[in-house]
Amino acid sequence: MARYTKNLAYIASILILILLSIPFRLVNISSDSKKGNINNLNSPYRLFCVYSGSSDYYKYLLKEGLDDAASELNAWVKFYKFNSSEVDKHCEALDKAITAKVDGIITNVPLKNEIFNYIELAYNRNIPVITIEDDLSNSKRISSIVTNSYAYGKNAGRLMILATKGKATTALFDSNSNFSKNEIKNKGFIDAIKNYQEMNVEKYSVEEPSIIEYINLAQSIFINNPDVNSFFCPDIESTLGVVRAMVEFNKTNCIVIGSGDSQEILNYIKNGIIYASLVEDPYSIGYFSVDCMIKHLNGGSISESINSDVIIVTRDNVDNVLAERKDKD
Amino acid sequence: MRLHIWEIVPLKKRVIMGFSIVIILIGLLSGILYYNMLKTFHKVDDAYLNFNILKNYYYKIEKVSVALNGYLNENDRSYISAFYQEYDQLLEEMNNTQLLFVNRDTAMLFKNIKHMFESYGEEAEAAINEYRKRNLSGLSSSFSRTLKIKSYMQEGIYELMINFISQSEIFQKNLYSQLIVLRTIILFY
Repeated sequence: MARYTKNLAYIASILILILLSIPFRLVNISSDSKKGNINNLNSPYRLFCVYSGSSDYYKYLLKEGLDDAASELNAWVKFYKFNSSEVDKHCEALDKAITAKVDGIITNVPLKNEIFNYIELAYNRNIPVITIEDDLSNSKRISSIVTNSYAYGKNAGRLMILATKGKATTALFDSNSNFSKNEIKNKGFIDAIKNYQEMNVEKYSVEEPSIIEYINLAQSIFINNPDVNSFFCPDIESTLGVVRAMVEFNKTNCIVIGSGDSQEILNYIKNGIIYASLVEDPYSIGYFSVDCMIKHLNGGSISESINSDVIIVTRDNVDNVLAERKDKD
Repeated sequence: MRLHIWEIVPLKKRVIMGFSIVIILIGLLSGILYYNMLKTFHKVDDAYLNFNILKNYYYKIEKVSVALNGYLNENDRSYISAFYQEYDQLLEEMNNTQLLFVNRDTAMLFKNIKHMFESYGEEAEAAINEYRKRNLSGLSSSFSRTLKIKSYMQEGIYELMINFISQSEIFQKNLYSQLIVLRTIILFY
Protein backbone atom coordinates (compact mmCIF):
# COMPACT_ATOMS: atom_id res chain seq x y z
CA MET A 1 0.00 0.00 0.00
CA ALA A 2 2.83 2.38 0.99
CA ARG A 3 4.70 1.63 -2.25
CA TYR A 4 1.49 2.20 -4.23
CA THR A 5 0.88 5.57 -2.55
CA LYS A 6 4.50 6.57 -3.16
CA ASN A 7 4.25 5.80 -6.90
CA LEU A 8 0.97 7.64 -7.10
CA ALA A 9 2.54 10.68 -5.45
CA TYR A 10 5.43 10.62 -7.94
CA ILE A 11 3.10 10.39 -10.93
CA ALA A 12 0.88 13.17 -9.53
CA SER A 13 3.92 15.43 -8.99
CA ILE A 14 5.15 14.88 -12.55
CA LEU A 15 1.68 15.60 -13.94
CA ILE A 16 1.39 18.77 -11.89
CA LEU A 17 4.83 19.94 -13.03
CA ILE A 18 3.85 19.37 -16.67
CA LEU A 19 0.60 21.26 -16.13
CA LEU A 20 2.45 24.08 -14.39
CA SER A 21 4.92 24.46 -17.24
CA ILE A 22 2.12 25.01 -19.81
CA PRO A 23 1.05 28.51 -18.76
CA PHE A 24 4.68 29.60 -18.68
CA ARG A 25 5.12 28.33 -22.22
CA LEU A 26 2.10 30.31 -23.28
CA VAL A 27 3.76 33.60 -22.36
CA ASN A 28 5.29 34.09 -25.79
CA ILE A 29 4.54 37.75 -26.23
CA SER A 30 7.48 39.73 -27.58
CA SER A 31 9.75 40.66 -24.73
CA ASP A 32 10.76 43.99 -26.26
CA SER A 33 7.17 45.26 -26.08
CA LYS A 34 6.85 48.37 -23.97
CA LYS A 35 3.99 50.45 -22.74
CA GLY A 36 3.99 54.24 -22.79
CA ASN A 37 4.97 57.20 -24.90
CA ILE A 38 6.19 55.88 -28.20
CA ASN A 39 8.60 58.79 -28.56
CA ASN A 40 10.42 57.82 -25.36
CA LEU A 41 11.45 54.45 -26.72
CA ASN A 42 15.21 54.09 -26.95
CA SER A 43 15.67 55.30 -30.52
CA PRO A 44 18.32 53.73 -32.69
CA TYR A 45 19.38 55.24 -36.00
CA ARG A 46 16.65 55.02 -38.63
CA LEU A 47 18.03 53.96 -41.99
CA PHE A 48 16.33 53.27 -45.33
CA CYS A 49 17.87 50.92 -47.86
CA VAL A 50 16.38 51.04 -51.35
CA TYR A 51 17.50 48.43 -53.84
CA SER A 52 16.39 47.57 -57.37
CA GLY A 53 17.72 44.44 -59.02
CA SER A 54 16.71 41.27 -60.77
CA SER A 55 18.03 38.55 -58.46
CA ASP A 56 15.81 37.68 -55.48
CA TYR A 57 18.61 35.72 -53.91
CA TYR A 58 20.90 38.76 -54.13
CA LYS A 59 18.23 40.84 -52.36
CA TYR A 60 17.82 38.15 -49.72
CA LEU A 61 21.55 38.12 -48.92
CA LEU A 62 21.75 41.91 -49.01
CA LYS A 63 18.91 42.09 -46.46
CA GLU A 64 20.66 39.51 -44.29
CA GLY A 65 23.79 41.66 -44.24
CA LEU A 66 21.75 44.78 -43.45
CA ASP A 67 19.82 43.06 -40.65
CA ASP A 68 22.90 41.52 -39.04
CA ALA A 69 24.73 44.84 -39.00
CA ALA A 70 21.61 46.65 -37.76
CA SER A 71 21.12 44.30 -34.82
CA GLU A 72 24.80 44.46 -33.88
CA LEU A 73 25.02 48.24 -34.14
CA ASN A 74 21.63 49.19 -32.71
CA ALA A 75 20.20 50.54 -35.94
CA TRP A 76 16.83 50.09 -37.58
CA VAL A 77 16.79 49.46 -41.32
CA LYS A 78 13.73 49.61 -43.52
CA PHE A 79 14.46 47.64 -46.68
CA TYR A 80 12.65 48.45 -49.94
CA LYS A 81 13.32 46.02 -52.78
CA PHE A 82 12.18 46.37 -56.37
CA ASN A 83 12.77 44.77 -59.74
CA SER A 84 15.21 46.42 -62.13
CA SER A 85 12.35 47.87 -64.18
CA GLU A 86 10.65 49.54 -61.18
CA VAL A 87 12.78 52.67 -61.15
CA ASP A 88 9.75 54.87 -60.40
CA LYS A 89 9.06 52.95 -57.21
CA HIS A 90 12.75 53.15 -56.31
CA CYS A 91 12.65 56.94 -56.63
CA GLU A 92 9.42 57.11 -54.62
CA ALA A 93 11.02 55.11 -51.80
CA LEU A 94 13.94 57.56 -51.77
CA ASP A 95 11.46 60.43 -51.64
CA LYS A 96 9.70 58.74 -48.71
CA ALA A 97 13.02 58.39 -46.89
CA ILE A 98 13.82 62.08 -47.35
CA THR A 99 10.31 63.08 -46.28
CA ALA A 100 10.55 60.85 -43.20
CA LYS A 101 13.83 62.63 -42.28
CA VAL A 102 15.67 59.35 -41.80
CA ASP A 103 19.19 59.32 -40.37
CA GLY A 104 20.72 57.77 -43.47
CA ILE A 105 19.94 56.30 -46.89
CA ILE A 106 21.59 53.34 -48.62
CA THR A 107 20.74 52.90 -52.29
CA ASN A 108 21.98 51.35 -55.48
CA VAL A 109 21.98 53.33 -58.71
CA PRO A 110 19.50 51.95 -61.25
CA LEU A 111 19.35 55.31 -63.08
CA LYS A 112 22.21 57.76 -62.64
CA ASN A 113 20.49 61.12 -63.23
CA GLU A 114 17.46 60.43 -61.04
CA ILE A 115 19.45 58.99 -58.15
CA PHE A 116 21.93 61.87 -58.46
CA ASN A 117 19.08 64.34 -57.92
CA TYR A 118 17.80 62.47 -54.88
CA ILE A 119 21.31 62.38 -53.39
CA GLU A 120 21.47 66.19 -53.81
CA LEU A 121 18.06 66.56 -52.19
CA ALA A 122 19.05 64.34 -49.27
CA TYR A 123 22.34 66.21 -48.85
CA ASN A 124 20.48 69.53 -48.66
CA ARG A 125 18.40 68.08 -45.81
CA ASN A 126 21.48 66.72 -43.99
CA ILE A 127 20.69 63.10 -44.77
CA PRO A 128 23.85 61.13 -45.64
CA VAL A 129 23.64 58.71 -48.57
CA ILE A 130 25.79 55.66 -49.28
CA THR A 131 25.60 54.12 -52.73
CA ILE A 132 26.06 50.39 -53.22
CA GLU A 133 27.04 48.35 -56.28
CA ASP A 134 27.66 51.48 -58.38
CA ASP A 135 29.38 54.68 -57.50
CA LEU A 136 28.25 58.21 -58.29
CA SER A 137 31.56 59.86 -57.53
CA ASN A 138 30.44 63.28 -58.78
CA SER A 139 27.46 63.30 -56.40
CA LYS A 140 27.39 64.23 -52.73
CA ARG A 141 27.17 60.66 -51.46
CA ILE A 142 29.38 60.12 -48.44
CA SER A 143 30.72 56.76 -49.54
CA SER A 144 30.13 53.91 -51.94
CA ILE A 145 30.44 50.19 -51.33
CA VAL A 146 31.34 48.72 -54.69
CA THR A 147 33.08 45.81 -56.21
CA ASN A 148 36.53 46.71 -57.52
CA SER A 149 35.79 46.51 -61.24
CA TYR A 150 39.46 46.33 -62.21
CA ALA A 151 40.12 43.37 -59.87
CA TYR A 152 36.89 41.81 -61.13
CA GLY A 153 38.15 41.99 -64.72
CA LYS A 154 41.58 40.72 -63.71
CA ASN A 155 40.02 37.69 -62.01
CA ALA A 156 37.98 37.05 -65.13
CA GLY A 157 41.18 37.25 -67.23
CA ARG A 158 42.97 34.74 -65.00
CA LEU A 159 40.00 32.37 -65.24
CA MET A 160 40.05 32.73 -69.03
CA ILE A 161 43.76 31.82 -69.14
CA LEU A 162 43.02 28.78 -67.02
CA ALA A 163 40.05 27.71 -69.14
CA THR A 164 41.70 28.19 -72.55
CA LYS A 165 45.28 27.29 -71.55
CA GLY A 166 46.38 30.66 -72.85
CA LYS A 167 45.03 30.32 -76.41
CA ALA A 168 41.88 32.33 -77.13
CA THR A 169 40.18 35.11 -79.00
CA THR A 170 37.81 36.66 -76.52
CA ALA A 171 34.84 38.93 -77.20
CA LEU A 172 34.52 41.85 -74.78
CA PHE A 173 31.41 44.01 -74.40
CA ASP A 174 30.89 47.66 -73.61
CA SER A 175 27.55 49.30 -73.12
CA ASN A 176 26.62 52.96 -72.96
CA SER A 177 24.52 52.74 -69.78
CA ASN A 178 27.08 50.87 -67.73
CA PHE A 179 29.99 52.09 -69.77
CA SER A 180 32.62 53.11 -67.24
CA LYS A 181 32.12 50.06 -65.01
CA ASN A 182 32.37 47.57 -67.86
CA GLU A 183 35.27 49.46 -69.41
CA ILE A 184 37.24 49.12 -66.16
CA LYS A 185 36.37 45.42 -65.98
CA ASN A 186 37.58 45.01 -69.58
CA LYS A 187 40.79 46.86 -68.74
CA GLY A 188 41.43 44.47 -65.85
CA PHE A 189 40.76 41.55 -68.19
CA ILE A 190 43.17 42.84 -70.86
CA ASP A 191 45.89 43.49 -68.27
CA ALA A 192 45.54 39.95 -66.94
CA ILE A 193 46.10 38.36 -70.37
CA LYS A 194 48.61 40.84 -71.80
CA ASN A 195 51.61 38.52 -71.33
CA TYR A 196 49.97 35.71 -73.26
CA GLN A 197 50.91 35.98 -76.94
CA GLU A 198 48.16 33.69 -78.14
CA MET A 199 45.35 35.52 -76.37
CA ASN A 200 43.52 38.27 -78.24
CA VAL A 201 40.43 40.33 -77.65
CA GLU A 202 37.69 41.67 -79.93
CA LYS A 203 35.66 44.56 -78.54
CA TYR A 204 31.96 45.01 -79.27
CA SER A 205 29.72 47.88 -78.34
CA VAL A 206 26.05 47.63 -77.44
CA GLU A 207 23.79 50.66 -77.80
CA GLU A 208 20.93 49.63 -75.54
CA PRO A 209 21.96 46.60 -73.51
CA SER A 210 19.35 43.93 -73.01
CA ILE A 211 19.35 40.15 -73.19
CA ILE A 212 17.81 40.23 -76.67
CA GLU A 213 20.40 42.74 -77.87
CA TYR A 214 23.21 40.45 -76.65
CA ILE A 215 21.58 37.41 -78.27
CA ASN A 216 21.58 39.25 -81.61
CA LEU A 217 25.16 40.42 -81.13
CA ALA A 218 26.41 36.93 -80.20
CA GLN A 219 24.67 35.48 -83.26
CA SER A 220 26.33 38.00 -85.53
CA ILE A 221 29.71 37.20 -83.91
CA PHE A 222 29.22 33.48 -84.59
CA ILE A 223 28.46 34.22 -88.26
CA ASN A 224 30.92 37.03 -89.00
CA ASN A 225 33.81 36.27 -86.70
CA PRO A 226 34.33 32.52 -86.29
CA ASP A 227 37.76 33.11 -84.65
CA VAL A 228 36.04 34.22 -81.45
CA ASN A 229 36.00 31.18 -79.20
CA SER A 230 35.43 32.78 -75.81
CA PHE A 231 33.43 35.52 -74.14
CA PHE A 232 33.88 37.70 -71.10
CA CYS A 233 30.43 38.94 -70.09
CA PRO A 234 30.69 41.76 -67.51
CA ASP A 235 27.02 41.71 -66.43
CA ILE A 236 23.99 39.42 -66.12
CA GLU A 237 22.33 40.61 -69.34
CA SER A 238 25.38 39.91 -71.51
CA THR A 239 25.93 36.53 -69.81
CA LEU A 240 22.39 35.33 -70.44
CA GLY A 241 22.28 36.78 -73.96
CA VAL A 242 25.53 35.13 -75.05
CA VAL A 243 24.73 31.77 -73.46
CA ARG A 244 21.23 31.61 -74.91
CA ALA A 245 22.68 32.34 -78.36
CA MET A 246 25.36 29.66 -77.84
CA VAL A 247 22.70 27.08 -77.01
CA GLU A 248 20.56 28.12 -79.98
CA PHE A 249 23.51 28.05 -82.43
CA ASN A 250 24.98 24.90 -80.88
CA LYS A 251 28.23 26.73 -80.04
CA THR A 252 28.55 25.28 -76.55
CA ASN A 253 32.26 24.64 -77.08
CA CYS A 254 32.90 28.39 -76.58
CA ILE A 255 34.27 29.39 -73.19
CA VAL A 256 32.20 31.89 -71.20
CA ILE A 257 33.32 33.78 -68.13
CA GLY A 258 30.09 35.39 -67.01
CA SER A 259 28.63 37.51 -64.22
CA GLY A 260 25.80 36.96 -61.77
CA ASP A 261 24.24 34.03 -59.98
CA SER A 262 20.67 33.81 -61.18
CA GLN A 263 19.20 30.31 -61.17
CA GLU A 264 19.56 30.12 -64.95
CA ILE A 265 23.25 31.05 -64.81
CA LEU A 266 23.92 28.49 -62.08
CA ASN A 267 22.21 25.80 -64.19
CA TYR A 268 24.42 26.70 -67.16
CA ILE A 269 27.50 26.41 -64.90
CA LYS A 270 26.32 23.04 -63.63
CA ASN A 271 25.84 21.84 -67.22
CA GLY A 272 29.31 23.06 -68.19
CA ILE A 273 28.10 25.73 -70.65
CA ILE A 274 29.43 28.60 -68.55
CA TYR A 275 32.99 27.99 -67.32
CA ALA A 276 32.76 30.40 -64.37
CA SER A 277 30.71 33.33 -63.13
CA LEU A 278 31.84 36.21 -60.95
CA VAL A 279 29.37 37.27 -58.31
CA GLU A 280 29.40 40.29 -56.07
CA ASP A 281 28.99 39.50 -52.36
CA PRO A 282 25.67 41.10 -51.37
CA TYR A 283 25.94 40.10 -47.70
CA SER A 284 29.18 42.07 -47.22
CA ILE A 285 27.76 44.98 -49.21
CA GLY A 286 24.72 45.13 -46.91
CA TYR A 287 26.74 44.69 -43.76
CA PHE A 288 29.42 47.26 -44.58
CA SER A 289 26.94 49.84 -45.81
CA VAL A 290 25.21 49.89 -42.39
CA ASP A 291 28.55 49.71 -40.58
CA CYS A 292 29.91 52.72 -42.53
CA MET A 293 26.70 54.71 -42.09
CA ILE A 294 26.73 54.21 -38.32
CA LYS A 295 30.41 55.17 -38.15
CA HIS A 296 29.63 58.35 -40.09
CA LEU A 297 26.61 59.18 -37.92
CA ASN A 298 28.73 58.70 -34.81
CA GLY A 299 31.20 61.28 -36.14
CA GLY A 300 33.83 58.86 -37.39
CA SER A 301 35.58 59.18 -40.74
CA ILE A 302 34.91 56.68 -43.50
CA SER A 303 36.57 56.00 -46.82
CA GLU A 304 34.90 57.46 -49.93
CA SER A 305 34.99 54.13 -51.68
CA ILE A 306 35.02 50.68 -50.11
CA ASN A 307 35.63 47.54 -52.13
CA SER A 308 33.54 44.47 -51.50
CA ASP A 309 34.49 40.89 -52.29
CA VAL A 310 33.83 38.90 -55.44
CA ILE A 311 32.78 35.24 -55.31
CA ILE A 312 33.78 32.93 -58.16
CA VAL A 313 31.28 30.20 -59.00
CA THR A 314 32.54 27.31 -61.13
CA ARG A 315 31.40 23.75 -61.76
CA ASP A 316 33.44 22.73 -58.67
CA ASN A 317 31.45 24.78 -56.19
CA VAL A 318 28.13 25.34 -57.97
CA ASP A 319 26.51 22.45 -56.09
CA ASN A 320 27.41 24.07 -52.77
CA VAL A 321 25.92 27.38 -53.93
CA LEU A 322 22.73 25.65 -55.11
CA ALA A 323 22.44 23.65 -51.86
CA GLU A 324 22.98 26.76 -49.74
CA ARG A 325 20.34 28.58 -51.75
CA LYS A 326 17.89 25.70 -51.39
CA ASP A 327 18.42 25.79 -47.60
CA LYS A 328 17.73 29.51 -47.46
CA ASP A 329 14.67 29.23 -49.72
CA MET B 1 16.78 -0.96 10.63
CA ARG B 2 16.32 2.32 8.72
CA LEU B 3 12.75 3.49 8.31
CA HIS B 4 11.69 5.40 5.19
CA ILE B 5 9.90 8.70 5.74
CA TRP B 6 6.79 7.30 4.09
CA GLU B 7 6.65 4.56 6.65
CA ILE B 8 6.85 6.97 9.64
CA VAL B 9 3.94 9.15 8.48
CA PRO B 10 0.58 7.44 8.96
CA LEU B 11 -1.43 6.65 5.80
CA LYS B 12 -4.22 9.12 6.59
CA LYS B 13 -1.75 11.99 6.93
CA ARG B 14 0.04 10.89 3.79
CA VAL B 15 -3.20 11.03 1.78
CA ILE B 16 -4.08 14.44 3.24
CA MET B 17 -0.57 15.71 2.46
CA GLY B 18 -0.75 14.42 -1.10
CA PHE B 19 -4.14 16.04 -1.71
CA SER B 20 -2.99 19.29 -0.13
CA ILE B 21 0.02 19.44 -2.45
CA VAL B 22 -2.16 18.71 -5.46
CA ILE B 23 -4.68 21.39 -4.44
CA ILE B 24 -1.94 23.97 -3.81
CA LEU B 25 -0.28 23.25 -7.15
CA ILE B 26 -3.55 23.36 -9.07
CA GLY B 27 -4.40 26.63 -7.29
CA LEU B 28 -1.01 28.00 -8.30
CA LEU B 29 -1.51 26.81 -11.86
CA SER B 30 -4.94 28.46 -12.04
CA GLY B 31 -3.46 31.68 -10.63
CA ILE B 32 -0.73 31.80 -13.23
CA LEU B 33 -3.20 30.99 -15.96
CA TYR B 34 -5.60 33.67 -14.76
CA TYR B 35 -2.80 36.25 -14.66
CA ASN B 36 -1.62 35.34 -18.16
CA MET B 37 -5.13 35.41 -19.57
CA LEU B 38 -5.78 38.79 -18.02
CA LYS B 39 -2.51 40.08 -19.47
CA THR B 40 -3.39 38.71 -22.90
CA PHE B 41 -6.90 40.22 -22.71
CA HIS B 42 -5.28 43.59 -22.01
CA LYS B 43 -2.89 43.16 -24.92
CA VAL B 44 -5.72 42.39 -27.32
CA ASP B 45 -7.51 45.50 -26.02
CA ASP B 46 -4.34 47.59 -26.37
CA ALA B 47 -3.81 46.46 -29.94
CA TYR B 48 -7.34 47.65 -30.77
CA LEU B 49 -6.75 50.89 -28.86
CA ASN B 50 -3.62 51.50 -30.93
CA PHE B 51 -5.63 50.74 -34.02
CA ASN B 52 -8.17 53.39 -33.00
CA ILE B 53 -5.48 55.97 -32.25
CA LEU B 54 -4.06 55.45 -35.73
CA LYS B 55 -7.50 55.58 -37.32
CA ASN B 56 -7.99 58.89 -35.55
CA TYR B 57 -4.70 60.19 -36.97
CA TYR B 58 -5.73 59.09 -40.43
CA TYR B 59 -8.90 61.20 -40.25
CA LYS B 60 -7.13 64.14 -38.64
CA ILE B 61 -4.54 64.19 -41.44
CA GLU B 62 -7.44 64.25 -43.86
CA LYS B 63 -8.97 67.18 -41.93
CA VAL B 64 -5.67 69.12 -42.03
CA SER B 65 -5.46 68.51 -45.75
CA VAL B 66 -9.08 69.62 -46.33
CA ALA B 67 -8.39 72.86 -44.43
CA LEU B 68 -5.27 73.53 -46.53
CA ASN B 69 -7.13 72.76 -49.78
CA GLY B 70 -10.01 75.01 -48.65
CA TYR B 71 -7.69 77.96 -48.07
CA LEU B 72 -5.72 77.53 -51.27
CA ASN B 73 -8.78 76.92 -53.46
CA GLU B 74 -11.39 79.20 -51.90
CA ASN B 75 -9.24 81.86 -50.19
CA ASP B 76 -11.44 81.54 -47.10
CA ARG B 77 -9.54 82.83 -44.03
CA SER B 78 -11.46 80.55 -41.69
CA TYR B 79 -9.75 77.61 -43.39
CA ILE B 80 -6.24 78.90 -42.69
CA SER B 81 -6.85 79.25 -38.95
CA ALA B 82 -8.48 75.81 -38.96
CA PHE B 83 -5.43 74.45 -40.78
CA TYR B 84 -2.94 75.82 -38.24
CA GLN B 85 -5.09 74.77 -35.33
CA GLU B 86 -5.59 71.22 -36.60
CA TYR B 87 -1.95 70.89 -37.62
CA ASP B 88 -0.52 72.06 -34.27
CA GLN B 89 -2.97 69.92 -32.34
CA LEU B 90 -2.14 66.79 -34.31
CA LEU B 91 1.61 67.40 -34.06
CA GLU B 92 1.24 67.83 -30.31
CA GLU B 93 -0.75 64.61 -30.13
CA MET B 94 1.86 62.75 -32.16
CA ASN B 95 4.61 64.02 -29.86
CA ASN B 96 2.77 62.69 -26.82
CA THR B 97 1.29 59.54 -28.30
CA GLN B 98 0.62 56.84 -25.77
CA LEU B 99 0.64 53.83 -28.05
CA LEU B 100 0.54 50.65 -26.02
CA PHE B 101 2.82 47.64 -26.25
CA VAL B 102 4.98 48.98 -29.02
CA ASN B 103 8.16 47.30 -30.13
CA ARG B 104 11.11 48.85 -31.96
CA ASP B 105 9.63 48.22 -35.39
CA THR B 106 6.34 49.93 -34.63
CA ALA B 107 8.10 52.79 -32.84
CA MET B 108 10.33 53.44 -35.85
CA LEU B 109 7.42 53.20 -38.29
CA PHE B 110 5.53 55.70 -36.17
CA LYS B 111 8.56 57.98 -36.03
CA ASN B 112 8.63 57.95 -39.85
CA ILE B 113 5.00 59.11 -39.94
CA LYS B 114 5.65 61.84 -37.38
CA HIS B 115 8.60 63.21 -39.36
CA MET B 116 6.59 62.98 -42.56
CA PHE B 117 3.93 65.09 -40.87
CA GLU B 118 6.58 67.69 -40.01
CA SER B 119 7.69 67.66 -43.68
CA TYR B 120 4.03 68.07 -44.63
CA GLY B 121 3.84 71.17 -42.42
CA GLU B 122 6.96 72.65 -44.02
CA GLU B 123 5.65 72.01 -47.51
CA ALA B 124 2.20 73.39 -46.62
CA GLU B 125 3.86 76.54 -45.25
CA ALA B 126 5.76 76.89 -48.54
CA ALA B 127 2.51 76.45 -50.50
CA ILE B 128 0.79 79.13 -48.39
CA ASN B 129 3.69 81.55 -48.98
CA GLU B 130 3.65 80.91 -52.72
CA TYR B 131 -0.12 81.47 -52.72
CA ARG B 132 0.28 84.80 -50.94
CA LYS B 133 2.96 85.81 -53.45
CA ARG B 134 0.63 84.71 -56.27
CA ASN B 135 3.38 82.46 -57.62
CA LEU B 136 1.33 79.81 -59.37
CA SER B 137 4.14 77.47 -60.43
CA GLY B 138 5.66 77.47 -56.93
CA LEU B 139 2.21 76.96 -55.43
CA SER B 140 1.43 74.06 -57.73
CA SER B 141 4.71 72.31 -56.96
CA SER B 142 4.41 72.74 -53.16
CA PHE B 143 0.75 71.82 -53.16
CA SER B 144 1.33 68.61 -55.11
CA ARG B 145 4.16 67.78 -52.65
CA THR B 146 1.70 68.10 -49.76
CA LEU B 147 -0.64 65.65 -51.49
CA LYS B 148 2.24 63.24 -52.11
CA ILE B 149 3.39 63.43 -48.48
CA LYS B 150 -0.19 62.90 -47.31
CA SER B 151 -0.34 59.69 -49.35
CA TYR B 152 2.98 58.55 -47.82
CA MET B 153 1.63 59.20 -44.31
CA GLN B 154 -1.58 57.33 -44.99
CA GLU B 155 0.40 54.41 -46.42
CA GLY B 156 2.54 54.43 -43.27
CA ILE B 157 -0.54 54.45 -41.06
CA TYR B 158 -1.98 51.47 -42.97
CA GLU B 159 1.31 49.62 -42.50
CA LEU B 160 1.24 50.29 -38.75
CA MET B 161 -2.43 49.28 -38.52
CA ILE B 162 -1.64 45.98 -40.22
CA ASN B 163 1.24 45.57 -37.78
CA PHE B 164 -1.08 46.03 -34.81
CA ILE B 165 -3.70 43.71 -36.30
CA SER B 166 -1.04 41.03 -36.71
CA GLN B 167 0.03 41.56 -33.10
CA SER B 168 -3.57 41.29 -32.01
CA GLU B 169 -3.91 38.02 -33.93
CA ILE B 170 -0.91 36.61 -32.07
CA PHE B 171 -2.43 37.64 -28.73
CA GLN B 172 -5.76 36.09 -29.69
CA LYS B 173 -4.06 32.81 -30.61
CA ASN B 174 -2.30 32.97 -27.27
CA LEU B 175 -5.59 33.49 -25.51
CA TYR B 176 -7.12 30.57 -27.36
CA SER B 177 -4.27 28.27 -26.26
CA GLN B 178 -4.79 29.38 -22.67
CA LEU B 179 -8.49 28.64 -22.92
CA ILE B 180 -7.65 25.13 -24.10
CA VAL B 181 -5.44 24.65 -21.03
CA LEU B 182 -8.23 25.97 -18.82
CA ARG B 183 -10.66 23.50 -20.36
CA THR B 184 -8.16 20.67 -19.72
CA ILE B 185 -7.83 21.70 -16.07
CA ILE B 186 -11.61 21.77 -15.65
CA LEU B 187 -11.81 18.28 -17.16
CA PHE B 188 -8.97 17.16 -14.89
CA TYR B 189 -10.95 18.31 -11.86
